Amino acid sequence: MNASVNKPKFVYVVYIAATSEKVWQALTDAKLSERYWEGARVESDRKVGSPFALKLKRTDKDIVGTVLEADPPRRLAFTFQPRQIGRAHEAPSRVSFDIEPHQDQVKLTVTHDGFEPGSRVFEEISGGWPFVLSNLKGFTETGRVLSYQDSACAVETAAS
Amino acid sequence: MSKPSFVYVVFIAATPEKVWHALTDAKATAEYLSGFHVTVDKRPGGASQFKRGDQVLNQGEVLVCEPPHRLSITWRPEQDEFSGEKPSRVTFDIEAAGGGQSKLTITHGDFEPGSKAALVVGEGWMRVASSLKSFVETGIGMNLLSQVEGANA
Repeated sequence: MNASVNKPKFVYVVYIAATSEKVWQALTDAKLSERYWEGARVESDRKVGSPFALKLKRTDKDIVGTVLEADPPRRLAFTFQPRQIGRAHEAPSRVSFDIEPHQDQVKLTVTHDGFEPGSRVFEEISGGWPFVLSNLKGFTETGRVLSYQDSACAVETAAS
Repeated sequence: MSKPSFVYVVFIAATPEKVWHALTDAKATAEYLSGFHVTVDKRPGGASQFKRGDQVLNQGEVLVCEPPHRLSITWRPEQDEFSGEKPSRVTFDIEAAGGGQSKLTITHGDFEPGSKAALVVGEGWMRVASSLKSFVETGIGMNLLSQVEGANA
């Protein structure tokens, strides 16, 4: 218990009015993730040991990793390593998504840990996840996404 | 430190004014709190109460009221399991986040050392924040009671 005190850990819980399958799909489908995940395409076959990547328009900002656990539509865990300069030297951290159904909604818990003390990646993800997960919830419930560039305005409407 | 603090951030596709209304208007809170509601006398020193019907579950006093950006209240639970605990403090910060969006930060801190309430408020705030966001964006809140397994409706 005490050993964890100095090891940074990020946990975020959000309830989403949707099925587990729909949330799983949003978290693992490139075309869907691109909409709400700040443009990132999730690329993975969701098999343990396979690569897991968040592909961005600028490849030097990609996040790469390996699938550690996959139990659709309940749990996905993978390693997380940014390629970006200034972060790439850090050891990979670990992300897990846990999806629990609660009647008419699901509880999504995102746990991101395994950081080195003083990790720069930890600071960045602590600011990043609340936006991405807020956006995932809104997108899943309404089909609309938040704008994430300062210059962009108004909530986009899904083109579906 | 023996005073743990809970911080939760959620982005909402609505203006700070709309988020403020949803947080502080009794009728609006009833729409997404599944049978509970909040009353706030929106001025420093005013009373705030979290209620189910006439039953007060926790109450406090307004410390800061700066519509639509900041509300800070003391928070004293009235339930037996937390009785005797000193009031803690809850602050809602609502910032404009571009494009008519808001960033809502809920901070709950200043618990007394060993507080039992400090251990459980986080779960509650995450449920409330999720339901508040759904309500503001879609007009329909979430069923908070279905989030708690074994809860009595």
